[in-house]
Amino acid sequence: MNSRIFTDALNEIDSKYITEAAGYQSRRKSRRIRWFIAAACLGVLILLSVYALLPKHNLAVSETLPQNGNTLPGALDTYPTVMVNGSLYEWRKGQAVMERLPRNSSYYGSLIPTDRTAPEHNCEFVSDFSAAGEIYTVSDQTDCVYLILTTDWMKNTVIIFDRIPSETVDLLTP
Amino acid sequence: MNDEKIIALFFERSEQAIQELDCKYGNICRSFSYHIVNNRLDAEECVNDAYLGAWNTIPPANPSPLLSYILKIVRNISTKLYWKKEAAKRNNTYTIALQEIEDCISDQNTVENKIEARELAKIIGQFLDTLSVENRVIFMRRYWFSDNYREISDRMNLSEKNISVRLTRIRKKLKQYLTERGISV
Repeated sequence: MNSRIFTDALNEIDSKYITEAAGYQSRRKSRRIRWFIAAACLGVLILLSVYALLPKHNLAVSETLPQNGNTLPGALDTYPTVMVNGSLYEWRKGQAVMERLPRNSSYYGSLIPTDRTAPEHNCEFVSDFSAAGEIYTVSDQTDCVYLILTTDWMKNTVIIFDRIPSETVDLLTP
Repeated sequence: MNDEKIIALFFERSEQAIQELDCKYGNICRSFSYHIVNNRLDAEECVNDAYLGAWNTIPPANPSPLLSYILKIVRNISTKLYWKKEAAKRNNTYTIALQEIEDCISDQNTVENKIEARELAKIIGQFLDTLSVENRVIFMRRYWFSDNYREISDRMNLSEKNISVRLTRIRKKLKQYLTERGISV
């Protein structure tokens, strides 16, 4: 019987091959580890793709604004607000600082700080800190305006102000 | 206990040698025998017979490494039992492994072409030397240890498919190697 002879031959084989096969430890990474590495790489790839596909602002935004803790000075009392074209705009919540003005922005006017609780005229600016600066708008953009502000804790910094929805304005105005 | 101490116990004719041998390699031997005989009780019997074989041959034999030596005895006894009791059933791992290899070694079955097992073992050894370590281990695990594909793939950290493909290539190579030497068993 053929396989019988093969079996007998294997029984006679040199012990070195048996020892080698008995004690062999693969140097390959285990399949679980390989799967884990592949999954991790895929995860990184997905994160990078998502980051690359995120809508980019045409201007870089910095988060390095010097602030008192995480809250704007006086923000708990009166949130910085300005009136432009009869609408109220407030300091953007989140990343509000820009490195420079948008290219197509145009000068609107100088800030007029006021002690009122809310601005009532164009260019009036309400805040709990003293500030000076200028207002810039972009013609086809009504949802935000840009202020170049100088205070005792920042100088000539471009800040985005977002339009306050009309229902909120009703609550703000006396 | 290390192998040298176990062998020393054999030389002292101490029965503790068998206990220590069983303690260290018993599970490996039983699992190995089970792959061939496909029956727990038969495997247990084969391993006990192998211990007796070791008891009768050590001394004068002074095997190093001990594991290969005892596995060889277990294999001899298990394959004998296999041919005696299980050949007709053809349903266990060892049978499947043998079916795979049969194609390589079964062309001309004439008396003149028959070859001694010992001589064939030498040629298989030469053939194994031509393989990479990884492929050699895969071959030995499959046809000497009778491991199934899953066990080999776990040991080698390769997929079962990869093991299957490698074994197919090795068998083809072996067939060519034997044919070139005019061997048919």
